[in-house]
Order: sequence, then structure tokens, then C-alpha cells
Amino acid sequence: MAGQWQAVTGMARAARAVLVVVLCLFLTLLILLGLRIHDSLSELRGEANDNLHWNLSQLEVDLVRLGEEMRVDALQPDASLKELRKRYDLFYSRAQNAIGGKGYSAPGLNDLPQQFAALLNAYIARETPLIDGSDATLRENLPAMADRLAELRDKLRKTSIAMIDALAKQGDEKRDAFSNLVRQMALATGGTILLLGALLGVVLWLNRVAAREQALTARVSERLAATIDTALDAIIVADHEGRIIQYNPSAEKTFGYSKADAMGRDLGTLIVPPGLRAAHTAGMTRMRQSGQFKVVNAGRIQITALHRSGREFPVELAISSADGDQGRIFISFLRDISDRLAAEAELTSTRDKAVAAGRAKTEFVAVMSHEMRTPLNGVIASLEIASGMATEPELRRFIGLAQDSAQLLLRHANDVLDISRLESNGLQLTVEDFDINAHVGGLVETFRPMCDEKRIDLRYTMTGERPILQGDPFRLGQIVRNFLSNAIKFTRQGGVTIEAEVSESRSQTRVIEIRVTDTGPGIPEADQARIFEDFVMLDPSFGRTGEGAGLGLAICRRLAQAMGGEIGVESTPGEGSCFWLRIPFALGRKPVVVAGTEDRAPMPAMDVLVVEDNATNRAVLGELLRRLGQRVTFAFDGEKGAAAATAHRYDVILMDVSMPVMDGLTATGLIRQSGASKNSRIVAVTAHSMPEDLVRIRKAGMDDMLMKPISSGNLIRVLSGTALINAKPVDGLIDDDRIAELKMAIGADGLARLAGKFLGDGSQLIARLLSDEALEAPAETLGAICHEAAGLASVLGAAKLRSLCARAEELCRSGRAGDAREILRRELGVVWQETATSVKAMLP
Amino acid sequence: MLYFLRGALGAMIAVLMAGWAAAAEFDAPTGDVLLTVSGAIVATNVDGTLQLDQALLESLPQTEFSTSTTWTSGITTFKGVLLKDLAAAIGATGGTITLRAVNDYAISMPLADLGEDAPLLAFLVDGQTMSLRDKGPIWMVYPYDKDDKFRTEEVFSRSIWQLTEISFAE
Repeated sequence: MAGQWQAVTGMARAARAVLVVVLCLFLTLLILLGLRIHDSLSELRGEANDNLHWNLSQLEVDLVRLGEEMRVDALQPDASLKELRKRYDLFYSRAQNAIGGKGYSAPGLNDLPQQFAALLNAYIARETPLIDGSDATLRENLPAMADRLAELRDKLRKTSIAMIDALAKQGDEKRDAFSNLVRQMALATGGTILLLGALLGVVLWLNRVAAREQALTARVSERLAATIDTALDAIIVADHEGRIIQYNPSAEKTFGYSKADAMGRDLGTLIVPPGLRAAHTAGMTRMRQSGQFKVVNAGRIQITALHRSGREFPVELAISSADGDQGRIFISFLRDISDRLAAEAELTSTRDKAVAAGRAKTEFVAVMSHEMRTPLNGVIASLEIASGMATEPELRRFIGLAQDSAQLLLRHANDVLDISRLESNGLQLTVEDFDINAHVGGLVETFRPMCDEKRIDLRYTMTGERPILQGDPFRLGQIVRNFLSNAIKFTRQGGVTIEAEVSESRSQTRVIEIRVTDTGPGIPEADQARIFEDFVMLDPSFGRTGEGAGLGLAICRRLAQAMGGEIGVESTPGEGSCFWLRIPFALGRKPVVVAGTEDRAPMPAMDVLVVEDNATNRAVLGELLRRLGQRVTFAFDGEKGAAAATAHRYDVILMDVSMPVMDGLTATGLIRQSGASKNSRIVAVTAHSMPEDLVRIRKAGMDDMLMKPISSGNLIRVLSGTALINAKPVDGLIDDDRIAELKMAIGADGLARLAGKFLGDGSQLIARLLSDEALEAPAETLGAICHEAAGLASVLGAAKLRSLCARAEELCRSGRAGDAREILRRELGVVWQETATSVKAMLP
Repeated sequence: MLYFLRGALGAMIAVLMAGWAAAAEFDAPTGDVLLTVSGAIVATNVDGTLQLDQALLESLPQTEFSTSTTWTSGITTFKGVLLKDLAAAIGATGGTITLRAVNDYAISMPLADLGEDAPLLAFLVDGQTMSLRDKGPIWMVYPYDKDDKFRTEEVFSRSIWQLTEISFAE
């Protein structure tokens, strides 16, 4: 509609232009016609010659009077001839006009004037001598002269009539031409009037359009003014010099100045706080000089404004600029955001408080779990010792139950601790290079005994690239272990398949995808997302009998997220589930080498059987062994371990001492009796190295003892058959390698716990060793105590202490108990103090 | 404007001269009388009229111009007395001038129509007096070639020849 309207207006404007041009042409035509009419009129008015008709008639009159005089004089013989001669003279004079003058000539008369003049000439030539002659001769010739005059008059008349006819014709033509000219003039005038009328119409119409547009503009302006007046934001319009030229009611409310006060005032002095005024003035100057705006059209800005009362308050400001009648104008929209900021501040503080409260709760839970673990470890340790000492089968069963429960409780505490650490982002991920294939493969192997027991298959395949990755293999392993233990737990028949695949995401990054597929009951679709939430167990009945607080997958989810990856499940109820993880790792820089190859000879690859009921210990041992390049096989308890060792020859068997079903000592006895591994090296793995344990272990046919927690140094020692005393010499107070290993294996908390235990046990043991009773004891007893102290020291890598005790033990064994006592008296107290101080520093 | 001033000044001088000339006496004509002036005039010499011979005419201010005419061929030089000079010399006070010719042709014109350079009462054509046959004795002419305003029908009709009488009416 508007477009159409504009088109019509445009056409009207074009028509007006065309009309003006045509009108100009018409006016030019009118002027030309006017000029021609003027010329014609001038021609008519400015008659070049005397009137022909008059001349002819006057000539005729002169001739008539001359003729009359002739006749009168002919009749009176004595009359004077003076009058005759005067008449002739008058005629003569008149005739001269026709002969020499122009009064008888006119356009279109052809040769008629010449004929006329010739007649007169001939007559005058004949008569003049008679007139000028004597009276007598004249009087004698008068009658004949009169006749000739009449004859002349007839001839002249004929010629003059012809002349008058021609002249009349000429006059008609002239009049026709003139009337044509006048007609054309009239037509042109009429056309001009019509054009003027049309032009007037167009102009009137355009005027009406303009008036309508003006009305529209006025309405728009009115609407705009109303909009500005009712706007909730303060709107201030300033000219290019910063003077206020518009100020709405909201601005009155916001700034306290009435419109009358504000109009014409300088924006800077009115609402800009004194502190910002210099910047404001500089900005205005810069804008005027260079036309650059810093805040104009820059969106919303938060700034401080000044109220009439002198109060400064925060405002949100948006400025736009436009071209006004007298230069650039600036339209500022200002909003008092004091309330909003206050609300935001309150909200922030409330949130901060809530977050702090949440964190406090998390911390509390973490501390509690942590605190729980220390006594729990004590319980577990005590139970292990007790189970070693118990001989009553019934008692051993109960101790076994108590041990299971304590382990479960410890796992719960660990889970809760993990959760709270993950929640508070307190989880420290280590960064180290690891061989992904070996790592996952080893992990899987630790579950093989469990699967064998349940008579289900366990398959591991890795496809594609097998790179060295960089990241936290322990945490990756934690997720895989969780997947695996769940899969095995829920699979009654069939098997569990682990597929690993590495894909490239960027040149220096790889994504490892691990799928653990089982043939268990599967998970209903509705539950598939829920199982990754905290404290969810799908089968409460199983949960009660199985272990776990329902936190496993929740921890896995958080771990995966912490490593920048994700986990999920695909499942068809009745057919099985597939848990998958996808985690990106940086590409490792160097191939994984056996730790500490610099000072240790490479280990020969051996077949190692690990008999261990505790999954964590299995994982740690398996991992350490694999790093040392050993081939590892796992067994879950003594019975299975003995069976495996009987069936296959292993170079080394690492045997946990206290295990359900059959303990390590019994199993060792069985292995030593017969079978493939009858002569293999069997190493006891135990947490405590009480002297009586050592005796029992030796009696049972074991070759060495590996103390928990297990370090690679100890492993190397027992694998290579090197005696404790020949372990690598370390001069430092504390072996940093050992601390690092411990930290990796049991975490910082475990290390702290271990350190606390070390301090407690150590101070008792050292006090005992320094007591007179021990020092006076026989060499064998003193050596045993020294052995125990050295073992304790080795747990935490207290190299100096261990080395001292080992030396004393060696001296005792070699019959130099006196020297041993001397060394102990002189050095033990100091070394212990130094060691204790260093270990205390490790406590949180 | 300047022209107008000159005109007004001329008229004033004419009136003054008329007053002065009125006191002057015209002698009786000694030669053939060429022109008889009558009516509202101050100066007279014969029976209440002023009769002018060639000598008397030559005593008045003389004016001469050359022009072609519609009645003759070629350029002609006319010499004589401007009508306004005559009117001033004789103290004419009337509003209308009537001029009469031998052949009874007569015209009338207002005294106000007398211009500074026309009409001229010519009594010499190319230095010769004029016979009746040559439109004598006096021919009132205008300088026709000088301006369009001297080529109108009115001017042609006022160009009276064989002039013998002039009378000034109140």
C-alpha cells in the first residue's frame, strides 16, 4: 500500500515536471506568436507610404477641378486664365507624386504604378507647353484640352481601379495572415491555460500528499514523544555540546531534577559524578574533534551517575547517536540499577553461603571417611594378624567374615571419600606415560581367577593402534575394574568381553574406547541413565549380598568426566549389557620403560603366579609386575593358587598369607608336596612381619617375604632372590622413589595413614630395641628385633633407619652381637628421631 | 528624463521668447507674401494678421535637414522655420493650429504636438524656392528618415504642401 502510494506520488511528481516543461514550450510559443503579432501590427501602423486611395482620389479631384476650369474658361473668352494655370500647377504637383514618389507603389501592384505614371508623364509633356504659352494660344486650345483631360481621366481611372483591386486583394491576404496569427495565439493561450490548470491540479494534489505526510510525521513524532515520556528508563537527549535537549519523566525521577531544571543544562555537570567529569569532558572533546565514540553505540555499560541530592548511584547506560537538525545528538538510556545490584549481591552472597555450606558438608564427609579409615585399617590389620594366629576353624570362619565386612566397610569409606574428592575437585590426576594395551590387559588378567571360579569366559581384545599414552592409568583402571567386577558379578553364564580401541582425535591426542560386554540379565532402558547416579542399586537383593554402596558407577562417571571423557551403557534386557568408556589421552612421549632401569639390571621375564584374594592388591601387584616385564597369572585363593601351581610351572609364586578358603601357608605346603611348581620360589605377601609370622612362613616352606604395601624395589628384590640386606643401598633418610611408589599405589591418604602407623609402631619398636631387656637379649633375639625394625623401616622407605637395623641384624647373625649393640646404642636414637621428623612432615 | 527636462526647458524658453518676441515688431512685407498667420497671435503687421514674405521668414531662426519623402525620389534638403519657432516668435497662445493649402487642403493639430525638430515650414528645397508645381511656396515637412514616429499616417497627412495660411485658435 505504502509502496503503491509512493509510486503514485512519484508519478505525480514526474507529471508535474513534464507539465512544467510543456508549459515552458507553450509560453515560448506564445512569446514567438506575440512577437509576430507585434511585428504585423508595427507593419500595419508604420505605413511606409502615403495612402494610395487618398492619393488617387486627390489626383482625381485635381483633374476634375482642372477640367471644370477649362470648360468655364472656354465659354468666357475674356476671362482671366490665372485660375486655370493655378489648377494646372496643383495637378502638376500632384502628378509629380505619382511619377517620382512612392505613394503609388505597393507590393503586388506589378507595373500598374509605372503605367499610371507613364500616362501622367505623356499628358504633362503635351499640355505644359500650352499652359505656359500665351493666353491666346491657350484659350484657342481649351476645348481640345478639355477633351484630352476627359480622355486622361478615363484611362487613369481604369488603371487606378486595377491598382485598388490588387491592393484590396493584398489587404485581404494580410488580414487573413493576421487573423491566422491571432487564431494561433488564441489556441496557444487556451493550451497554456489548460496546462496551467493541469499543473495547478497536480500541484494541489502534491500539496495534499505533502500535508498528509506532514500529518503522518507529526503523528509519529507525537507517538515517539509519548513513548519517551512513558519509558521506564530515563531518556536524556543531548546535543553535540552535551547540552540537554530532551528529558523524560523517568529521568526526573531517576536524577531528581525537573525537566525545567534540566533542559539546556550541561549533561556533564548535571548527572556525571565529579570524579568522572574529566573523563566525560575528554570523551566529548575527542568525539567532537575526531568523531570517534567510545561509549556511543557500544551496548550497555555500567557506570556511576549523580543524583540531585549528591548521592552517587550505579546506572546501566546505553548511548546511541543520530544526526539532528543542528549536528549530532546523543540519546542516552539510563536505568538505576542500585536495586538490581543489591539483589545480585544478596543472591551471590546467599549462593556463596550455600556453596560454602555444601563444601563444608563435603569436607566433613571427606574427613569422616578419612578418619574412619584409620581405625578400619587397624581393625583389618588386627583381623589379619588374628586370622594368622587362629587355629580353630570356627574362629577362623568368623574372623574371615569380620575381615570381609571390614574390607567392605573400607571400600565404602573409600568410595565416599572418592565421591567427595571428585565433588570438591580435590582429585589429583597423575600424569605419566603408560602402555595402554599392557595396562588394560593386566587389569583384565586380575579378574581371570574370578571368572574361572564362576566358569564364565573372559576375553580381552585390543584393535588398532597400541600407543603409549599419557595420563592417570590408575584412575582409568579404576573405571575398567568397576565395569569388570560388575560384569562378572552379574554374569551367571556366558562370558565377559573387553574390547579396547584407540582412535586418533588430533595428532597428539588419542581417544581410548573400552567396551565391557557381558551376557548378564541386562538393564531395562528406563534404568540405564539412573545407574550412573549416586547410591543406585538396581537389584537390592543382590546389592545386599554383593558389595558396594551403589557408588561405583557414580564414581566412574565423575572420574571419566574429570579426565575429560564419558562413560555409558547400552543394554538389552535378557541379553546383556555393554558398558563403555571414551577418554582422551595425550600421546606419551617415550616408550614405557621399567622404572629405575638406570640403577637396576633388567629383570628376566618370568612366569609369576599371584595368589591374592584382595582385588586392589591383585591390581597393584599385577601392575607392578607387568611394569617389570613379568608374565602374570592370578589366582583368587590358596586352593586355586595351589591348583594352578600344580598344573603349571611358575618361576615365582607371590602368595598372600591370609586368604579365605585356604590360606597361603597351607597352599604353599600343597605346592611343595608335588606338582609342576614344587621347586619354585614362593614369596609370602603379608602386611605384617611379626617375628612369629616369619617363623611360620619359613616353616611353611616359603623362601621370602614381601611386605605390604608392595613397592617395585621390594618386588625386584624378591623376584631376583636378593636378600633383604642386599637391597639397594640408599643413604638418604627417606627413599623418595619409595614414597612416590606408595603414593601411586595407595594414594596420598594411604600414605599418610601408613606414615601415622609407621610413627606409632616405630616408636614402640625402637623403644623396645633400645631397652636394656632387648640389648641384653641373646644375639638371635636381638637380630630378629632388628629384622623387624628394618622391615618396618623399609615399608616407608626410611633408608637410613632400615640400613642401620639391617647392619645390626647382620652383625648379630655373624656373631658380633657386641658391635650390633654398640651401633644401636650410638646411632639408633638419633636416626629414629631424624626419620620420625621427616615422616611427620608427610602427615597432612 | 533628460529628454523630458530638455523638452520642458525648451518649452519654457519658447514661452519667454514668445513674450519677448511679442514686443518685437514685424515690418510690413515687401516681397510676395508667402504665408499669412492669423488668430490668437501677438505679432501682426497687416490688418490684424501677420503676413510673411521670404525676407521676413529668413529673419526667423532657420533650420535645415535632409531626408527622403514618400512623394519624391532621392534625398532632398529642406530649409525653413520650425513651426514652434514661428509660434514662439509671433507669441501664439492658442491650443490648436489650423494650416491651409492652395488646393483647399487643411489640417488641424494641437499646439502641444510641436516638436523640437519638426515640423519644419520649408521654403527652400535644395536651396531653391518652390513654385506651386514643386509644392511651394511652403511645404511643412518632417525628417521622415530620422525615426519611425515620422513615418505614421498622421505625420503623412500633416505633411501639407502648397501651404499659405496658418491660424491659431484659442
